[in-house]
Amino acid sequence: MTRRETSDPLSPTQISQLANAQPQGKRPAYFADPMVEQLYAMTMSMMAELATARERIDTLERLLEKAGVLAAGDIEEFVPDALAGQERQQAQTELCARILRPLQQQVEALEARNERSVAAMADRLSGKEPGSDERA
Amino acid sequence: MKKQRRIDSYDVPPPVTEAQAHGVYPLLNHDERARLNFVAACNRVVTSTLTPGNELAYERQVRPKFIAEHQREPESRHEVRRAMNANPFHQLWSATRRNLMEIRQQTGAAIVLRQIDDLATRAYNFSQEHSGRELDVTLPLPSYVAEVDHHCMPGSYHRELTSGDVSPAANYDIGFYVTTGGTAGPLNDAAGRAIANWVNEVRRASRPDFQPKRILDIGVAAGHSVVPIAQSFPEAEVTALDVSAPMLRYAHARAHSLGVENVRFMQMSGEDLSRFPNDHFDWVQTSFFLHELSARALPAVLRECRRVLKPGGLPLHLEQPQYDNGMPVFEQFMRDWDAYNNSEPFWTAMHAIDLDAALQATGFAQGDLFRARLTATAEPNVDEQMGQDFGREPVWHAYGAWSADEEMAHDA
Repeated sequence: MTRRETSDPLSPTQISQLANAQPQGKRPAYFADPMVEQLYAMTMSMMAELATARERIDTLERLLEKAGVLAAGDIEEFVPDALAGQERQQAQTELCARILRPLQQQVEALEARNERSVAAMADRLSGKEPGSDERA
Repeated sequence: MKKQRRIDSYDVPPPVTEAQAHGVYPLLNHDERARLNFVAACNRVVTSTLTPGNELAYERQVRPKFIAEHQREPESRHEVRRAMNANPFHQLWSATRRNLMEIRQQTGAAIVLRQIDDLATRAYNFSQEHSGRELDVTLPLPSYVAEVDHHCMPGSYHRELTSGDVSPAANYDIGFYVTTGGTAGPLNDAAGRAIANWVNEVRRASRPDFQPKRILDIGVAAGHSVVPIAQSFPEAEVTALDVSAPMLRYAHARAHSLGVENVRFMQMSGEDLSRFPNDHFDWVQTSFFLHELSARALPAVLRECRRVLKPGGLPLHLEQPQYDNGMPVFEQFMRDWDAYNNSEPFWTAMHAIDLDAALQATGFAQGDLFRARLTATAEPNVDEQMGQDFGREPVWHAYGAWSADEEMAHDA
């Protein structure tokens, strides 16, 4: 087969940058708050990734069943023993905590454990007047 | 584990593995297929479950508020749009649909870019083994193509990142299947088959003498429509034009890998068909092409279509329905979504022009104008439960003018 001249293959970074690039033209705004816009876009992408991961798990289950590793119903009827049950609930809890991290941090801020800005902390720890660096 | 069952027709969109691969179809790995499946499934949920909420929001919230403020009904799709854009439900629905399109584009681009050289090589090999591909590197890309990233696809139909690039076309092809939920069939070609069937029906009913020798298709893109037409008229010499070299390379390779030999793919603008003499073609057609044209280009293309068409020949333009014949302003607004949210800037103006007058301006007689409603309802993946997907459902209108001795079967 004849091979035409091509440039080098695109690197994974190039592919990622190109595939994630925005199209020409200003993106329409759907929400009053641009932050909500961004958050919603990320949420939709997470939805796509979750759907993709679930389909992969489904593939695994079907392949394992076909290979005779799993019997039909094995997964539905699976009951973890006490230790496994505890480990799994631990994992569930940690996952929820990771995703809800921003809310946890809001609660901490409400508890006034985080009321000073980092810049104000630097001023205090250096013995400077608050905001003196910014005025300089 | 799920029960095994034979699925004859889907009440959910078919997975992308049901699409028919061909000689330049991209390779898809597991997670790429899963992402595409997600796009199709999520689109279906949006269409069937969420889209009807727009009409509810309009009737129960937006319209009463508008009437209270203005003491009259909204009079145009633009008034409806401005009012609906302030409605929280519509905002969320619209954002969801836009994001799905962006995810679809991200997914498709990532798939084709990782195999960009392999795809180009495959298309190149078809070009070495089969004639019928004439690229013109000197053809300037019209600004109404160059400056629009159609359907939110960076680089749109034409970007070339490597020599012999076909990646925009390959991306378009795989994405088409999931955005339409497989309703256009395994080869995305239901529209082309519907056109061929309609012409054959008219031939049987009233025009047995119509035996097209030369057919012209303008804006061929990936060749979804032209291939079934060429298959239905194997004696015809079909000419397929596009301004995009990646589309032509891909369409040429795809057609030949499907065994279709009677199409010549040429890089040419529909605005300038000067390489063809007057009265040259028996049938000149476009499908889903007019809405990609600027207001300046559209009449120029229609004029050239008329010039190269033989007297008594068939001009046919397939589109979503025009905003006329009393189409309610709410439906016009819904059909207009792609114009404002999916980088289809000419969609709104094109669907609002008087297409009959535009055709008459090129010399067709009013009495010869026709409209025909074409559907893909015979497709195995099309069912009544999908809900109306404004602007995307597989129901199209063919617009044209056909002078004849016999009466035409009108069916608008």
